[in-house]
Amino acid sequence: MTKKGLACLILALSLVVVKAFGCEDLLLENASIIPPAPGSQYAVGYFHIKNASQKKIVIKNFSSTIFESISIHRTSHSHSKSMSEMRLVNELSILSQERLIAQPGGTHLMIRVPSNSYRFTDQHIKLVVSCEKKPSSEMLFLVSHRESKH
Amino acid sequence: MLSGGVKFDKKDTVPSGILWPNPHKIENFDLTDQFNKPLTLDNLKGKWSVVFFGFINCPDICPTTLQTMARAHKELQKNSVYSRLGQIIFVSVDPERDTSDQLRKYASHFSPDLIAATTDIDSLKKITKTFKSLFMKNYDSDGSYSVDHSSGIFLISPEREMLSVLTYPHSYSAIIERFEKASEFYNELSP
Repeated sequence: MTKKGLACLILALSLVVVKAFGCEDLLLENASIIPPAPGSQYAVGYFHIKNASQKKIVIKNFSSTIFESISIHRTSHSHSKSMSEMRLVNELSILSQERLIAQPGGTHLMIRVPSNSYRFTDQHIKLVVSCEKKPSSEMLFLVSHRESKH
Repeated sequence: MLSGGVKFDKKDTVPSGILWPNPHKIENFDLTDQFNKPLTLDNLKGKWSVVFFGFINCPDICPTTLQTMARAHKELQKNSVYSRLGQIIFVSVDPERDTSDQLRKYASHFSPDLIAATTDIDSLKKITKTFKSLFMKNYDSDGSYSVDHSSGIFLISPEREMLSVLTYPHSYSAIIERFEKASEFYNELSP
């Protein structure tokens, strides 16, 4: 292989590696944000996310300019004690070609809304997902109101 | 109704995995509901009570469970016993943040019939103890806190005995089925 050919190969490989770590290889499905029930300050976010790359992707956080904070939490259950525990999760690792399911009773986004007067008027809300390696990606979440007595 | 409570003498007749063979009596407690009225053991007498412990700022399991309970409660209005005697109760284990005013707004979102109540920490310890339940404040690294709590739904008989506990994950059909089996068995024992 010529020097030029080798350089091109190294460049191509490095691009693949950089691309593989970025959020752009995450495929989001069934993403929804459920507004807080009256009296509560926290909305909740659920989603399915697939890592379509050939490398592990680490999600560091979700952010948005309209919410006070968004943190990743995980609810776990101790069946022996019949207890539910909710813990802050610092990052989400998703292996190559694997899917992470954030759903009720498990991993979820805990979203602090600005105030009780905040109204979820939009049908969709954009969140920015930041991964271990740049770039970050914007992802669209459907606003899904919880069925109430009405 | 049995005046002395349910006595499950014939072990093999107790629906397996449905009811506790020797249900214990709930001891007295003092709560204040969303309308600032007292809620005590007396409010359970003669009623079938479906009880869940949680807190308003719990974004995941609490609203999901209360929604499930509310749906079961609505469906169970078709049951002649439940429609007369059934009630759903949410006990907040976060009295620091969950005021009566907030409990009123929160509860009405799920069901007009949902009773929401809380009390001070010492009294909460007492009520969770009699329900053989636990709660524990837990601080996250960002300084915020949540409260670990029981994920079970408790079914209390009109004699104020803990007949059954449904474990997470919950479904409204499981609550209905559990109530129907429990009330049927309970009534068989009535004179």
